[in-house]
Formats: sequence, structure tokens, C-alpha cells
Amino acid sequence: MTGWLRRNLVALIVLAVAIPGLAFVVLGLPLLELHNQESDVEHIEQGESAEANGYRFTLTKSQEFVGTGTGDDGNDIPLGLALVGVIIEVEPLDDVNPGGSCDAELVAEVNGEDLTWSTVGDPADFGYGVGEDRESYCLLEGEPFEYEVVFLTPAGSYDLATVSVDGLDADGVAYDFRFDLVK
Amino acid sequence: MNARTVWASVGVGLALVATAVVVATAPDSDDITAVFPVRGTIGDVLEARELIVEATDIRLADRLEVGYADAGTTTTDGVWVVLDATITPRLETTSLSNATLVIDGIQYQVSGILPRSVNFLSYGAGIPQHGSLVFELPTAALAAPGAANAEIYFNYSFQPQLDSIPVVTVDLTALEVEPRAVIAAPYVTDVE
Repeated sequence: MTGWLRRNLVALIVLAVAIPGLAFVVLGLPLLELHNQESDVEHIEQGESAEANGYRFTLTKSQEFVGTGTGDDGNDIPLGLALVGVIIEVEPLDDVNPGGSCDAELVAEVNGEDLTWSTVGDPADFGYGVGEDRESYCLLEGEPFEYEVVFLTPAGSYDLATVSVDGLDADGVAYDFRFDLVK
Repeated sequence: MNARTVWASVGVGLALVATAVVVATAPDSDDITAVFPVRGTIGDVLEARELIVEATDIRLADRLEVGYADAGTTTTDGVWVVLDATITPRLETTSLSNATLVIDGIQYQVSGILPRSVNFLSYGAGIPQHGSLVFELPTAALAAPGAANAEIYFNYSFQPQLDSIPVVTVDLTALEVEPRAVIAAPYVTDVE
């Protein structure tokens, strides 16, 4: 037995290193990359801020506008639906590198299912005017700005929903902040 | 040859026959991963897992008249099939760019000729939008045996598998081909 070990010791050492190494390259690296792309969702209470990618994000205002119809007496929002307007203050921290972007969507969990709403491309279609000095796109260019987004949802979704702000930081790690709406 | 050998041979033969029957009748991979169609016709409300569809009208035309935007040239050497419907995604924004019209197994993909169409339901969960899906067919397709039971699959992904899909069945042979079909801008409807 000891003779067999002596004759095959080098080969055994090579196997002991090569097999785990190969397993790491084939399985471990892709899993690691997948983990970096998937973000841990971080819940942010109303009034609190979140920091990522050299910026501070704070949801400062939000409001629901319930639809009264698209007729002459209505507010251009269909019955049974509502607009949700959200303003997020974005401030660069010290020594931030310009570049990158973020996205916002509205999310709610109803009966165990995740419902999502994307930002309305042209809120003017529903009689909503975005503030003159506010941005409709979250472009991180090293300057502070107010990011104003609008969602069209079934009426009553406001009480269940949070605003998801996500993106990638400078290291390519994803972040996903869920901000409570103003109640 | 003794009795045991005979019975063993018979047993092997029966096993082979049974195997052949199972192989011949087992579903293939397409059948195993097929969608679960939720079928109906014009006027029915079809509720699938990701979409609710109510088709309201079906028209045939030589040309599309798009009044709300520039759609370019809309004449065709074949025929346009225009399906008007109210479509509601249940969970999230949804694309219908993979919707197909099927006649006798031949699939015709939805046309992207309409600007701002219900091919892309961009608002999200529970927001109903009314608009038109259009398909461009060769004229000969209207004469196919299956044209009387053409099916429109509201596929929300490239290869839907093991999921429920609304399917609207229409009789294309009962329709006249109009010189033009007026296409209205899509709009969000009230929720009752």
C-alpha cells in the first residue's frame, strides 16, 4: 500500500488540486457572477435615505391621484385607476465619479404575487405635469437633482406599494432599494 | 425446449410489444411542454395566468388607415387581419410581439407596423388597454381549410411553455375584405 502511495503521490496531489479548481471555474465563477447581479432588496422607511454608487437617494414626496374619468368632467385619468407621482432626491456624495443610471418601478405584493408597474412615458397623457426643474430619467452625472416618476395603477394600489430604485454600483454590484411611500 | 424456456420467451416478447406501444404512444417533447390554451371567440373574456383578453372585433382589409401616427406604407399584396381587443396584463408590463395567428399549423407573427400599439403593454399590472393587433397574410391563406377556425395566440414570450395562453378562434371565411381598415390609437380603458 505504501509503495502504491509513493508511486502515485504526485498524481494524487495533482488530482486534489485540479478537481476542486475545475469545479470552481465551471460552477463557482458563474454562481458568483449571478450572485453579484442579483441584489439584496433593502427596505427604506419613509424619511430615510439610501446610499449606493456614490449617491444618496431620498424619497421626499409621493401622492396618489385617483381617476375621475377621461370625459369633459374628468381629470384625464380613467375610472378605477390612479396616478402615483413620486419625487426622489438624488445627491452625489464626496469624490463621486460621474456615470451610471438608476431605474424606478412600483412594486406591490398581493396574494403572494409580485405586481409591478413601469414609469409612464408621457404623464401629460393623463393630465400630469412633471416639475420644471425635475428629471424624468435617473442619470448620475455628479450633480444633485430631483427625480420625478409617475406610475399608472389600479386605484388602491398606493397603500400596498413601494418604489423600487435599482442600478449597478461602480463595482458592478446591483442594488435595489424599496422606499415606503408617503402616508 | 422445456416449458420454462417457452414461458420466458413469451414474457420477453410481451415486454417488447409493451415497450413498443409505450414508445409509439408517449407524448413528444413539444407535447410535454405545450401551452395550456384558454380558448374563446369574439366577445369572450379569456383569463389566463398572465393576461386577460377580450377580443371585440375582427376585420380584413387591403390597407390600414392609421390616423394617429405615421405608419408608412400600409398596402399589402396579401390581406391584413385586424383584431381589436382589450388586453390586461395581470402581473407586469408585457410584450405581445410574439403573438401569432395560426391557420392549419402555419404561424403568422403579429406585425410591428403600428406605432404605439398594444404589442407592448407598457403600464403594468391590472391596466387594461384597448387597441389593434394586425397580421399580414397571403391571400391564399383565406382559402385554406383551417381559415374557418383560425386561432390567435396571445404569446407574451418567445417560447411560452407550460403556461396558460389566451387563444381567440375566428372564422376568416365569413368576412369580406374591406378596401381599408381604420386603426384608432390605443387607449387605457376604465376599470369597472
